[in-house]
Amino acid sequence: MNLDDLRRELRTRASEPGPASMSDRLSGVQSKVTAARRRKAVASGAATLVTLTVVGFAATQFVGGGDGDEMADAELVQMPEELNGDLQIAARYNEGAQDLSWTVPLDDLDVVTRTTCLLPADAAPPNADAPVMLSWTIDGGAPIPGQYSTQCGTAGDPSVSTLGPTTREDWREIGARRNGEVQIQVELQQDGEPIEVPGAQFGIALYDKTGDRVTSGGVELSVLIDIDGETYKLQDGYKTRELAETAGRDRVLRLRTPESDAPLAVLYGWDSPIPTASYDLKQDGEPLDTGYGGHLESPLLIDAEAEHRLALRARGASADGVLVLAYYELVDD
Amino acid sequence: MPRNGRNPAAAVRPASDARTAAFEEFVVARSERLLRTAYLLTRDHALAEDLLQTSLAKAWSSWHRIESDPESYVRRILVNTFSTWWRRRWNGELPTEELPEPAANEPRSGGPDVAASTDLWDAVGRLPKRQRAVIVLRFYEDMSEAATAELLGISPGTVKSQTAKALAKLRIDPAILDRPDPSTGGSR
Repeated sequence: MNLDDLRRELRTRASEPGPASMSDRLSGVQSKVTAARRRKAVASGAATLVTLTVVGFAATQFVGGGDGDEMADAELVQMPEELNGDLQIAARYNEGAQDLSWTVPLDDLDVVTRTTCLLPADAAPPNADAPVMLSWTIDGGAPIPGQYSTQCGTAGDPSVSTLGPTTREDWREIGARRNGEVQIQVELQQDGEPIEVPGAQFGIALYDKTGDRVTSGGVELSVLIDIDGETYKLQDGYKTRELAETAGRDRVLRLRTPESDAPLAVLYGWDSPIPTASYDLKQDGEPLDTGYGGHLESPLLIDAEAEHRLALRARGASADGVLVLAYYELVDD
Repeated sequence: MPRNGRNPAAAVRPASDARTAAFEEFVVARSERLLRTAYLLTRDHALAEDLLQTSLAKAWSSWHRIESDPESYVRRILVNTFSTWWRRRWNGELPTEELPEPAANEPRSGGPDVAASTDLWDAVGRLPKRQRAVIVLRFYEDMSEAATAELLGISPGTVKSQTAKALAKLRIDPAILDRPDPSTGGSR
């Protein structure tokens, strides 16, 4: 075999698929857009069906905003009714406003908060070089604890973050009481200062912790997590390590992941009340991500065509908390 | 309205209508070409169409950003979706680990050229997905190492090594290695 053979073979084979119906293809794309939106995003307010101008073949309808604005930007995420096995209790959205205030009754403290945020494509925040953060406080909570911040998504890809009190103890620490209520304030910030971004869409939801969890090192890990409409299950071998306040020494957590037919979801982070130091995650010695203490990151999908070695290294600064490194495998339906 | 004839009213159409028209024009004009790439990756007509539609659906959500050069963007989505898609969705793609033993002196239908072609095609199908993607981009799309690296989000060095590994695997694939060399009458 030489390269000419290979090129010839690829060109010959590439011509095998016969002509397809364009209307069928566009209908298929439409179905996938709709399905994806059902999973991840539903149009803000009253979603409308827009009949679009069709060029040369049967009409196709995509779900979009009804105001004639950019479709992707008209798609406001709504938090799913169920996420990681947790059922949504209630949610609030900014609905065009630049901030959000919500008085939340708490029948129980076994709940978590999740947020979502999406910036429009033409967003022009005051500082073009700084990330736009969705920041919220619970009962004033300034500055910490009770104040949380997560980066907003862009380009039609809204951020979804589980951040805030996750245990009854956490809620009590910020002053919440069962059968009481808390005041949640949400706004956009850059460099810690409130900003306005017209067209930004964000929301916050309260979830009942109905999903299965395991506790390790004092950290709760969801047994099942949802990513892009697929469900992944926590695998044995997850690692947690409680850190003492020992200055000047790196702490490393290592984990081997197996070869698998499907990508794996890696959960990692530094669950610490004080985000004072950084960590990095490496895969087979190559940098995969960096972060700061304070919370667990959203799970990251990695390929599993081969075994991998993961290493989570907390930098030497003095800080306590718990390092977490775990992986999830796709659940076959 | 004829496809290539611009309707003056388009200038005052809502942005979403114009964007949809542009998207659909793109699908009509370019999706057949992208389908061929998808077929080389998946080796199955239905899966190729599914991969293409999935990639177009992903591209649609970002269309306002990629209108200036949508084809390269969709190709990027397509290849990367293929690389990270998994067998559960791809039941049609279960390459065998072991080749069936060919019967000695078993005649191949279609003559030696057809048999050689089938063997090479099957050998490409046995490559790991990432290597198959590199081969398709380099030798079907005729992309440079640098362009392939950019599309796959890996370094040019990795493209080079993946290409070398893939070609080596193809050359020692038993189906190709065991084929009699028509020029010598022996094995290659």
